[in-house]
Amino acid sequence: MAPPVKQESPPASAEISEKPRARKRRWDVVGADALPTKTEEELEAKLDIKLEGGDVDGNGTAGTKKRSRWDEVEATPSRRSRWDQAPAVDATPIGKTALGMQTPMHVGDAVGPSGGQGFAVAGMISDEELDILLPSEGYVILEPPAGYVPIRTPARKLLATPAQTGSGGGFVMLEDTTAQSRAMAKQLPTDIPGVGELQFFKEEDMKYFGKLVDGRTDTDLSLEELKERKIMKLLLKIKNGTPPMRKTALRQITDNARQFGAQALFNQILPLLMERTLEDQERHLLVKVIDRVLYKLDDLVRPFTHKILVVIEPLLIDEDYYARAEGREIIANLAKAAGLAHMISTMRPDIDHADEFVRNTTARAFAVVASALGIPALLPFLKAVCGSKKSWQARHTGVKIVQQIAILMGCAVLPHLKGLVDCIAPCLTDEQAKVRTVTSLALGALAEAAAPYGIESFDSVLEPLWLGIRRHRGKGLAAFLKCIGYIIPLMDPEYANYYTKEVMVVLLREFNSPDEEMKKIVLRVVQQCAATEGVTAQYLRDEVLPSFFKSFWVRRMALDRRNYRQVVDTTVELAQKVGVSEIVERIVVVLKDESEAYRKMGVETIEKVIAALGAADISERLEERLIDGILYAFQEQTVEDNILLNGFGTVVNALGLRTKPYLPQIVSTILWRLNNKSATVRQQSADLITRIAAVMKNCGEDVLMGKLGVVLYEYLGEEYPEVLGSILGGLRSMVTVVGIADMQPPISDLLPRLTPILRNRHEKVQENTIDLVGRIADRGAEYVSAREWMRICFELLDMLKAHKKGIRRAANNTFGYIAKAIGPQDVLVTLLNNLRVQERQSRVCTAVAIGIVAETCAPFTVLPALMNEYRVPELNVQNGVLKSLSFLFEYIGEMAKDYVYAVAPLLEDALTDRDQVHRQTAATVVRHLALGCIGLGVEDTMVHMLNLLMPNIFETSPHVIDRIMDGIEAVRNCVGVGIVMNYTWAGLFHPARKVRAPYWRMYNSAYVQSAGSMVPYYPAVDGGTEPEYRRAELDVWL
Amino acid sequence: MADKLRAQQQLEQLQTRFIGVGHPDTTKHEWMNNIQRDSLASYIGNPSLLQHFSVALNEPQRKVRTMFIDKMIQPCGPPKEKDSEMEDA
Repeated sequence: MAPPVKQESPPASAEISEKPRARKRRWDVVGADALPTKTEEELEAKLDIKLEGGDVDGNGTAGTKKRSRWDEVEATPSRRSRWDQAPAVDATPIGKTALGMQTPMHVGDAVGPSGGQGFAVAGMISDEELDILLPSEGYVILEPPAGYVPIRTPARKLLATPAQTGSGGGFVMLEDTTAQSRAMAKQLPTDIPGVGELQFFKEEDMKYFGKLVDGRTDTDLSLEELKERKIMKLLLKIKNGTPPMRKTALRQITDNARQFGAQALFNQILPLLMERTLEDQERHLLVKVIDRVLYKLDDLVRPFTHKILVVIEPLLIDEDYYARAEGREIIANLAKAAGLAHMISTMRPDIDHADEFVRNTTARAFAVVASALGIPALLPFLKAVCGSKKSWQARHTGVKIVQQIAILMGCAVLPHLKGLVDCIAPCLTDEQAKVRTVTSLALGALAEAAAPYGIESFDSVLEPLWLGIRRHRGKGLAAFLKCIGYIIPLMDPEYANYYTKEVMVVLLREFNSPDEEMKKIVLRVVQQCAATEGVTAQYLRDEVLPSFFKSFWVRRMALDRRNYRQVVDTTVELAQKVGVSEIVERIVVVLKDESEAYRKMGVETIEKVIAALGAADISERLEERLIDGILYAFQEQTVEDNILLNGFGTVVNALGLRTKPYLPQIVSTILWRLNNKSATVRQQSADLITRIAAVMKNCGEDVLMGKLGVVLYEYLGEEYPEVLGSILGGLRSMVTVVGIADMQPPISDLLPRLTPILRNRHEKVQENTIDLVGRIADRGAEYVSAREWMRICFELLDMLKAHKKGIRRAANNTFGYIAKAIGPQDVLVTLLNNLRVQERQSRVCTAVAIGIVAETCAPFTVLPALMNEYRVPELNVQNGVLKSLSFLFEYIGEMAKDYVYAVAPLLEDALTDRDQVHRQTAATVVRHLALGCIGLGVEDTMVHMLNLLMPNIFETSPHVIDRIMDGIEAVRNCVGVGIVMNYTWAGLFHPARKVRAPYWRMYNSAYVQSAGSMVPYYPAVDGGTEPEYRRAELDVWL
Repeated sequence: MADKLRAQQQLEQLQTRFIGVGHPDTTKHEWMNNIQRDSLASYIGNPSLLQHFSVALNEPQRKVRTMFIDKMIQPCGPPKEKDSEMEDA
């Protein structure tokens, strides 16, 4: 189905290209000169050259403008989302039109079902449209200013180059409000007869579901056709429908799967899955259908096994994780439904298929089958395949299956390890290099999966492996080394030591290999060898370290991200064996290197090594060089990085007291950098203070700390919030280590400066200030006047709106501290007033804060005011009071018993209120009250509350009923199950189901919690007509 | 709709753990069975109750215990036909 786009008619194009009128040229109308003029033949020729790997520039006309390969997408339409419903490349002529015509952007006379009113296809409003839209009088068409050049942002470029008609040529923000989509929306139906309103309907869907709209009635269709349409409708509902629609359709298709039959189902599902424009979500849904259907069809799927596999296997190598997982799931279910023998006979021909892609996916599919049906079932077949004399491809695939099994199943291979290893062992000496390589990789995968067990299974392959590393070179050698790297950790210490020495010769030789892949593998193997128990530090120190540092600690290694990581990890692993000083001694020079990336690599390694092993090993001279180097690296950084910050912090903390001589220097660096123009530098220095504050205190540098504190205090005017947050963090760590009393500047100066900062909306700033203020309120409230604290209280109310829970929690706790310091009255008034605000979150937090204040200052200081507030005839306030009461009783627990009688009338009123939420919240209060007072002699009130709760059990709103049931449950715990059961018996067998349901719910919750204590209260059903219901034992008397 | 489904699932989950929980369609017979079994289990599980019965019936505790366990099989006789239940309304 083509969108309403036709090749341009001559008049429209002539209008622009031949007779340039003096009308406004818009940036999207690209003149003839802006586009390379090409004919279709030229393009195709060019494409051919491109596909054959030839040089595009060889073509005369195309050679003028070098184009990136991204521009070539018109030849290969890739997957597209339903949002960019630009005309399909293959369905419409626009792609080639755009290339061939001179004015591709201006399709003036689009004729289509929408009536050809000329909506421009490219999403722009055409000049004709503008003429229609705007009055002809009163408007002047302006000339573009001289020297005007169109803006070449990517989105615009996209419209100016031919590539735009292909999909995925670049980023386009396509909204449904464009003229194009309006035109499109008209002709693609979302309401299919017999299906209902869909979420969307793509033009590609027409290919598969077109039959549904051909207008034929059920009466003139045969039974088969009816069935086909039924399935079609269901699939469309599942694929494009709304979630509830999808759900029912999925259930129908599953339930009727056997009636529909495998043929009818898969004939429609499989082509849909092959559609290249299928989206992830649609694919997921179809996969789900197959999954369910497979389960129902069971062995009926057999004839379709191959077809399904052809469609599903590519999913196994999809880059999307979920696609792979779905593919695995389907194949596993298919294997269970069709049986092993059938699966093998179906996939057998693909094992030595000429195409490597097919073999690869087949291997993965077989691995999935093995995991679904068990490895032992597949083992004889694998043995046969790996020993195949006919073709090396078969052997290659066989080994690959084993590799995939190991990757897929992990340690579950252990029981069958011997079998699997024996199965592929002969291939290690295969005459085909590819087979040998994949075999060693498979063995490596098996060893990795089996670690740390199963070395005995590898006995048979050790010899060929070790012979192999001497014999092979290049790629083959890399694979063998990788395999050995995984096997060595499984060995006993002495064997590991021996074999490490054997392999190290080769490794040392390969240290100098120029091959990147080989380098990575070598590093990995060194890491694995160093980690094994049998390898001694002495050996590593003498044999490995010198050449390791010579080949890998070079500037070049720091440039590639993956190499960098490998080198750092390997060095840290070596340090575990040879000790800190050995490594740091060698790396410390790196810290003063001229390459920043290399310095960073050094710092990161030192950080990791010292964090893991401490700094006790470091000599005085080394310590000096280390601090010197790290200070240099810190000062010389051009991009502020966490690595250096962490490195500095770790080193200083590890050295502890030994840092004392260097502290003045460090502090002066910090002070200098705190003054820097760049915000990140200031932020980093402030962060560094946080890291080293504890060490400074330990070193007794109180004077220095005071100085730093004062400087930080002076920088509180910082305007960048990130930096301000760090500065506050620095102050906080100072307050923590120095203590409130000795803090410089004094708290009485510091806190008033913090009050305005509390108003800052930035999350980091809020978090750090509230933490600091809370700490001061907790430990040193007396340093500040009550008036200041009240001011802070008001600011804190705003904090209750914060998004971050940590901030809200800290603010609530701070209310508690402040109330403790200055007495609850004033704080409480502030909080109670805040119950009137609109935002729910703020009210909830206020309620929590009131609860906290009551807990810290004893309930009797708060309850009277709170209950008085309940008399305000305002819904929010009353609810807020109830909520506060609920938190309050939750926090105070047993203390509540003295207040039960006091709050009872209030609760009575709330539980009989018309408003549902009132009753709901009151039920929560009852719940906390009852749970707090278990066994404290207030059962009378609780029974009273139960009487008020019971009428509410017929509430239907889920929240309300849940809270009511919770309340009843709590009362039951307080007054005992017997009394509550007396209420319950009445409704269990009520004639109306609606009545029975909540009563059974009550019964069930009682039964779950206290079935044992219910026994004495079970009703005595008297004999009469049903003597067997009588519990005769109860008549036994002594 | 979704809530109902969830409630149903929760009940099923509960029922797998606690066989005695009921639902609006529990018949009197089923319920009485559960009550009887719970009672018998309680007599067996509380040593003092068991002793009480054993003294009163003049039987050893072991025998009383076995008797109670046996009684749990069909405490209220064979299951009744559906139509005789008044709860089916």
